[in-house]
Amino acid sequence: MMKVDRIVTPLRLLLALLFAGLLAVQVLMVATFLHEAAQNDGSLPIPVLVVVGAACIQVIAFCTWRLLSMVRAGSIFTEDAFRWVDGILWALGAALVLWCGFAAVMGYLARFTDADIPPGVVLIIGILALAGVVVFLLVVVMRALLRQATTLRADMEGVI
Amino acid sequence: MAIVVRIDVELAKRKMGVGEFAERVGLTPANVAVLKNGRAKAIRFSTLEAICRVLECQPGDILEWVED
Repeated sequence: MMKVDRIVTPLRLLLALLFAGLLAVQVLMVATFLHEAAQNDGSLPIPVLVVVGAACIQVIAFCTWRLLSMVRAGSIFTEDAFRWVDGILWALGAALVLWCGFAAVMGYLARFTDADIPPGVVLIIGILALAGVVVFLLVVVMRALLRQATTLRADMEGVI
Repeated sequence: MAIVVRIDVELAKRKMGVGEFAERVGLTPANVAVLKNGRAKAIRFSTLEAICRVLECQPGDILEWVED
């Protein structure tokens, strides 16, 4: 338990940094969007995608922060933890849908139009989508493990 | 629960209070209450051993099976 406590603080620091960094990116993107709105050229609404995607990652960072609080308080194996894990899954799912849509559009543009998109970029976007699905399924597995541990803890608390 | 814990009988025989019993066994008074009113789901052998030592009895003296 001591070791976990030592990791929680730096991890929280990094999460706060990540959150602040994404916020800065969002502000930048909103400014870009307002600037570009005046000269709408019908291209992909990249700034909007970035703002929404960053919001998803911020939700994940916040939920992870709450879960870390529960780890520190020793209450991670309770029903309340599932609210935050579910929050992570929803945000991750939304980000994945967004990213896969982006990947599909990029793939379409590269394949069927004369847009100047190198095939390597499409491949990287596709691989990142695949990695996202892997992370999502891993979280689902960890959620099931948390369920097992929570049930076990509840059983053990009934032992006198 | 079809298994009944008969601590109060043994306590009465030895004229021991619940507070003293809890302290000597190393249980919280709350857990002793759980044992007494039959809400306990399970008991550790180490707890059972401590109870038997304090009450100078056998497990059979405090655990009883009754039909539901």
